[in-house]
Amino acid sequence: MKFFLSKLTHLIVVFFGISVLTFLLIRALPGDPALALAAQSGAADPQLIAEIRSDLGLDLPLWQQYATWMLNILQGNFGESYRNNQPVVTGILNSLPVTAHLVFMAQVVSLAIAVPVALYVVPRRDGWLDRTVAVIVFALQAIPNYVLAMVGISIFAVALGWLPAVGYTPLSQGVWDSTASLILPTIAVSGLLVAVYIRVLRESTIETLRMDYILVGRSLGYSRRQLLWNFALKPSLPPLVTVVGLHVGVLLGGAVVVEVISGLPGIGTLLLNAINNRDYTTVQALVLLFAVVFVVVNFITDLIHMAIDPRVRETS
Amino acid sequence: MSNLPGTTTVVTPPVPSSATTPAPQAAKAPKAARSRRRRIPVTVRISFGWLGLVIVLALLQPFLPLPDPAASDYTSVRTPPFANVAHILGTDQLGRDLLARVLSGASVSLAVGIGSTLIALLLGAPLGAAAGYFGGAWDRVVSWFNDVMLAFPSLIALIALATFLGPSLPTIIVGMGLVATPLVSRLARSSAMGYAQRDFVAAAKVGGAGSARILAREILPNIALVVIPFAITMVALSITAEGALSFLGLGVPPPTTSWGGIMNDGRGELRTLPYIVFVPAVVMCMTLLAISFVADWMNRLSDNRESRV
Repeated sequence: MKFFLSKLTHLIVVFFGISVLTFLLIRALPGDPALALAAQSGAADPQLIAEIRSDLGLDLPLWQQYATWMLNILQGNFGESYRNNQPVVTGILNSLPVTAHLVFMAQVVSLAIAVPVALYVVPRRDGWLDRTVAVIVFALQAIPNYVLAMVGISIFAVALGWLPAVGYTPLSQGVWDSTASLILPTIAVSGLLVAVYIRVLRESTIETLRMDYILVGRSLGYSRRQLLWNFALKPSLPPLVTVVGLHVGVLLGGAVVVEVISGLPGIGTLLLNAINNRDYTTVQALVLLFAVVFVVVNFITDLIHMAIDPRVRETS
Repeated sequence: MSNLPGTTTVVTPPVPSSATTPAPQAAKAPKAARSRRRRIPVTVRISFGWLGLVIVLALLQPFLPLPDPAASDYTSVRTPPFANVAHILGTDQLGRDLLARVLSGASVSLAVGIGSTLIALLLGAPLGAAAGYFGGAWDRVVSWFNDVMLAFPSLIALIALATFLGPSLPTIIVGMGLVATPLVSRLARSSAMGYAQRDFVAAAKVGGAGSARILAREILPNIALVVIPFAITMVALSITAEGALSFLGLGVPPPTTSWGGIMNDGRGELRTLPYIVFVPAVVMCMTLLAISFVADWMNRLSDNRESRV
């Protein structure tokens, strides 16, 4: 219980810090949304600008603007986009599924590759296969995801024509078509994940195999495969769980470039457009969303740790 | 004082010491063990060679007999690599020489990578070291600051800074340095916490050294062993991140183009002239790989060092 309370206060403090930082940073951006809106409606006379400004509450002192914004958010009201007067939540709900789909596919694919590979190379430690995997892991960690995205497009979309180069097919138009439109972006963002997951799981499994109970298991005649998959895997998971959680956040932010290259109408594209259009409300809501996801995923990661590892449960 | 373990540790990265300054342990070690430690792996040698080549060519680029990277040669537009002696790596859709562009891009990308890392080191290392050493309220403030900065999506902070300060080379270097500061600070903090309890720090305190002196003379040199390999990795991360910004149109503005900028210029021609993207991509990836090899090697060196103390 004490564990939960200290975690919770920490979360609230971080959340508060981020909301202030976001608010100030967005206000510091050059360019006046009132001016942009006035220019949109064709006329730029000072009276109209002043009117728009007071409509949006931009003439109030900063702390008042912040307080209003925070109070509204606590009531679930994220405001309307300065750009198209739609509620911000609508815009986010339109693009969130695309990014969520991408993050989900990337995590599933990366884990499906990384876990078997890591467990396969551990007993063959320092053999030629282990070294080869180590070099591939090294390369995958160094190559930027946008380079992978362009390599993927020029091979599988342009040269072979197997997959669409850009664009997203919504899930409602068929699961397979939708998945196919995300294969190339998934490959692009998964390179790093596969590398990190293999490295982390390999290290922690090697540690686990040094434990006495594995020696006992070996002397009782369990096969290598049983020892690895049934006995060594679960105690080796906590470090992997941590990085998987960490990379949900990394994916949300890092996918921005891949989304732009692959023409996906996800959160990253929404954010970039919002920043370019000085759409304060959308940017603020998105940054808060990123922060909340980061913080919540951290929290869930801790819970999973407690579920896997009885020692963590006892100390908390 | 100088006989205490830890106080003799060097400030510079743990490159195998030359014969002029033999470490006391190394002098006693058998010859075979010493030479094994000194042998630099082939991959690391190749990496150093590649990095040296890129840096030298990037610095010499204005003086080399190459076309101006920004000038268009309309007589040979869209030349593929190795087809024309005048343009060894080919030209882009505007007839600009790709070799010249990649080399001038190298100086921009490396300046961003190295410059921002230096800023992060200068800000983050003292901040984190002080937090880890003193603990208490100061530590809580620094940790809170680190947590907030790390939970804040770094790309958004960079985009905001780039938009706010106007995209230019110095802005991007400073912005990336600021974004990377909490990473260095967090690492320096955890490392300094371990050293704050060590005997040589206690000895220095007994010897009458003040906190500033202990931080500068005892703590910082030791955490440098951990922080410097990490900083080298960060050079690669910054180069990658600058490339990402260039793709979003927020990188270093033309005519000074980074590797990411060249790729972004060629992105529209990916279907027809893929080499415009892949020439800078290959050079960039090889450089990033070389930096990773060097960082990994240094990390293992400092690991050995730590375990021998």
